[in-house]
Amino acid sequence: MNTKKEIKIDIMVEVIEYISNKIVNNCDKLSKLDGKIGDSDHGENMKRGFKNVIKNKEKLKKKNTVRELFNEIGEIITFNVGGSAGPLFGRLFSDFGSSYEEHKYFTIEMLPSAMNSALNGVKKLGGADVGDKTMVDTIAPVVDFLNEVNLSELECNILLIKLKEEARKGLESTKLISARKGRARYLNDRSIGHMDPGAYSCYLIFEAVEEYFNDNTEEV
Amino acid sequence: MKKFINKPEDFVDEMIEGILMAYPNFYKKAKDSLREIVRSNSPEQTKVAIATGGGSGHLPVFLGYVGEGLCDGVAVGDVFASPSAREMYNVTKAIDGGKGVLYLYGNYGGDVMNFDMAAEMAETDNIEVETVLVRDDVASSKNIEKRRGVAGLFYAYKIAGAAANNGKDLQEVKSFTEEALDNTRSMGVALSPCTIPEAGEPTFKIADDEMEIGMGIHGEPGIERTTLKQADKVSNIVIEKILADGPYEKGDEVSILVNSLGATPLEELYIIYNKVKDILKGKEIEVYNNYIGNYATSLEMSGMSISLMKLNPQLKTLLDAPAHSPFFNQQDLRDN
Repeated sequence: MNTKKEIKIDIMVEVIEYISNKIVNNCDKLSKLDGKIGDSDHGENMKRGFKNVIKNKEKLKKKNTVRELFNEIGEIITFNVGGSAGPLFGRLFSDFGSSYEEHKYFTIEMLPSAMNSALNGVKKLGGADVGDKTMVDTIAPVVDFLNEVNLSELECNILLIKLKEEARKGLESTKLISARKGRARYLNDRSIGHMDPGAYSCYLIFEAVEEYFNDNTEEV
Repeated sequence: MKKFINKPEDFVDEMIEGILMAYPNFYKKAKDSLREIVRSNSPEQTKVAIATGGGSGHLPVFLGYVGEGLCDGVAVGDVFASPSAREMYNVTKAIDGGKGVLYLYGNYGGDVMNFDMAAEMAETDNIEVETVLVRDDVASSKNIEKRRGVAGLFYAYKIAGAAANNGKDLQEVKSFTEEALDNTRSMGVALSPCTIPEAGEPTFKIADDEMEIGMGIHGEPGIERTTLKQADKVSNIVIEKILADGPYEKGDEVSILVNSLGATPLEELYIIYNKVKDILKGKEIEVYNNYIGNYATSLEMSGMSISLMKLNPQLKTLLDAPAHSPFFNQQDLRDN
């Protein structure tokens, strides 16, 4: 694949809108998961935040650089989701774009470093690591894959499927472990057997990105 | 779950609406949201403002300590969940009278993340913000930096609010509050769990003949689960842990707070106090004053916590200063 093909700001905003709709549409599912190991409000909180992202679509399209765009998205999420999820998902987005002060577009070539930065931001802010039953468990395998793979040897549609699969694997792993971070840690072993709702939200992002590009005919 | 509620998801908003109805002269909304509540006379130009916040379910923490000689504003989260950075930021803007804002709240992950972000936003508006984290729960970690904030929040609010009212600047208010907290230790014992309305299930299970020493105010595991003991023994266990951890010595003067976690009745708190005072007397630690009642709760959890603050002349004056809110009233006890 041509890893240097430019994805401009307005297309990125379309992807973000698609992700946001995915989260909003899965509100009930997320709250149900949260009901097993938390207080049933994760879906509503995420919905509130990502609805605000959608509401700001036109404003986001006017952003000049990747950094500005993701910084704004991160801020909207942080300010509207609340709880711990607000700052953590906010950081996920803002740090994804934080290194691209000059870039007016995104390329697949930038993806590994953007994802590494996003993961590190979330880990640093929340203090969680792999195996703590958090969103980190979803992101870490994706980052591992990106760090190993030779992007030019993969077709884009295959890459996105792979990333989604890695995220899914990470998400499923949260079922098998007991929480060491977040409120669910107070349940000790009783959190085993349930997926972490934050990890699920995070998986939805990768699923949405894959769907957006692979269902849209436009070649990336 | 047996509660006087309507829809579980309306629990927090209806509770706040009720409080606003009951005390319209005390509180107002910072903007439009029920989750951003400030004193009705905010902002005051003459003093440092104090903001607090955190999850619901702990009344009078946090909203109940917004008042004269206490805090100026509060961001209110869902039950046991942090409010958002936006709510904290809006509260900050509404209470800042130009002398800066002290963020004073319990050391919990979500709250810290959100308050830090609110502080960054406030700073871009040229509002000076300082933060003091309350970490008084001895049982929550050996490492003081990692400890959680529990009933010691009360002493923090009382001292910070009095310092701000005395016209101290932001750095001074911060350092008085830190000094008070350096001198404060707490520990709780839980007998039965509580249920978050939206979760519908108790936060933990505990047998009828068991108690958990050191349990946190959200049901965080404590240091030991053991068979239920008589009140004097429980008092002894808790006070010994507190004394071993804190800066308390023979000849010191302390303030004691015996706090119900929600369901434990006042009667039992006085049985605890009776013994605690006795133990301290035996160690030649003088009890300067006491606060006994519901100061920091965990919905309908039964259990209690003991907090001790070691006093010095300055802290004593600040503690004795008047304070008024619908949930806490104290007249001026200072000699002048």
